Amino acid sequence: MENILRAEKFISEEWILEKYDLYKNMLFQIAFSYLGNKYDCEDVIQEAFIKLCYHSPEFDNNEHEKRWLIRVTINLCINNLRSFWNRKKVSIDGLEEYFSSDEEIGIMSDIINLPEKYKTVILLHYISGYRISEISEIMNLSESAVKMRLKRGREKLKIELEGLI
Amino acid sequence: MNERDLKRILTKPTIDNEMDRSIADVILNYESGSLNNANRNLRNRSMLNNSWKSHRLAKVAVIVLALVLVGTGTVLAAGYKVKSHRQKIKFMTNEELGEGTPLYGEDTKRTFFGSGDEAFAELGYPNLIPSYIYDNYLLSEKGHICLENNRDGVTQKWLITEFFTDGYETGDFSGEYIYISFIPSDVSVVNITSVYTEEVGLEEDFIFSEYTTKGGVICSLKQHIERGYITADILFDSDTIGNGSLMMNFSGIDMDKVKEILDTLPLTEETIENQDMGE
Repeated sequence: MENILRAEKFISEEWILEKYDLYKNMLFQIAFSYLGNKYDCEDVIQEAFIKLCYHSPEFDNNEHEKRWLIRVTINLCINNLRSFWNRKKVSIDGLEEYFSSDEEIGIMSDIINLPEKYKTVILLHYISGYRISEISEIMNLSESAVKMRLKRGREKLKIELEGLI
Repeated sequence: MNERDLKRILTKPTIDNEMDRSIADVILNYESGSLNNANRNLRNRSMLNNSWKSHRLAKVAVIVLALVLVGTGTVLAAGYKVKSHRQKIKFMTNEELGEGTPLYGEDTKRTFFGSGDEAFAELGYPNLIPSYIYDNYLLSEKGHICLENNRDGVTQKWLITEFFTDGYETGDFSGEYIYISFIPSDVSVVNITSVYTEEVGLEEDFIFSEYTTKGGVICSLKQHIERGYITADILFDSDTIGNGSLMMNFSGIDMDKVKEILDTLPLTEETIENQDMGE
């Protein structure tokens, strides 16, 4: 196993790949819900892992690390959307690779176009599996604010509650 | 739709094998900008072999390579004085561009530099990035990237780099973001027209203004109405350092701060009287 000295960190390839395999699909799904195309997602995920592997702070535990990585990924997505090079509208072409039916493409488009404050709580809840109290900690919001955002996000997406999580 | 459907749709996209290898390769071969040449070359090979380059830079190329050179001029030598020009822009819809229009050149080479001085020196210029940016922002992990792009057999060298709010402790990198590109020119840039495609925006999407720095350099400003970002274009000719086009894109940064940043550009107008007064 090759050890790699990176700036102030001493990490192994094994450690990097372990973290990458652990988080890659969750982060891709979060990024895709913001960006809607795999190329921008690739940029964001690559950058998020570089930050994790080479420039992250010391984490108290794995959960602290996971939350940091999610937050960095979301912030990078927001940067990407605000940037000069972002396309004006999400192209359907980017969705067709992952979704076959018009209905699924329509729903994913609605998710991508959901206002950021609602989308973030929706993604943390349904992709990352966080409870309202945990989202409240991650986003530094009150639990009632998280509940309200979840409720409004669901309303906008016309989601029927069934107590899934 | 119920919650189960929502969760199924949200978790449907997954990383494909090609992207998987590409990202893992880049992460494993990542080197900070201060590494030696051997490591840097190794990293260049790795980066060139992945698809990371394909998207964002292709979009950059839409504008950069669509620059239309109309005039001619001569580059002489010596100093940091410049003659600045207002930017001329032509907005084109995709229909106007037509399917046959070659927008994209091919990136044929990339070189990564941690040092801005070193990166600009690769192009034969002094570092043109405002000192305020180095003092107050964090350079992207990718550092300064010198690119060579081939379009219709013509090779164009140029440079890009990005800066962020320092968010390593908090995880919040979304505060402020600066993207910079510099395109050198062998000829005067006075008659260069930048072509903006629909991907960047239409004319009605921007508020246009201008700022003259404390050094007398004209900066053409555009603020995107919907997204709020501000773009500053500085086109200059100089017997001292050569000619070029410097573009800085500021996201999450207000106009007053943008002007403060532009005032630290290492450029001074030759004489106020000689400034291009526009059409």
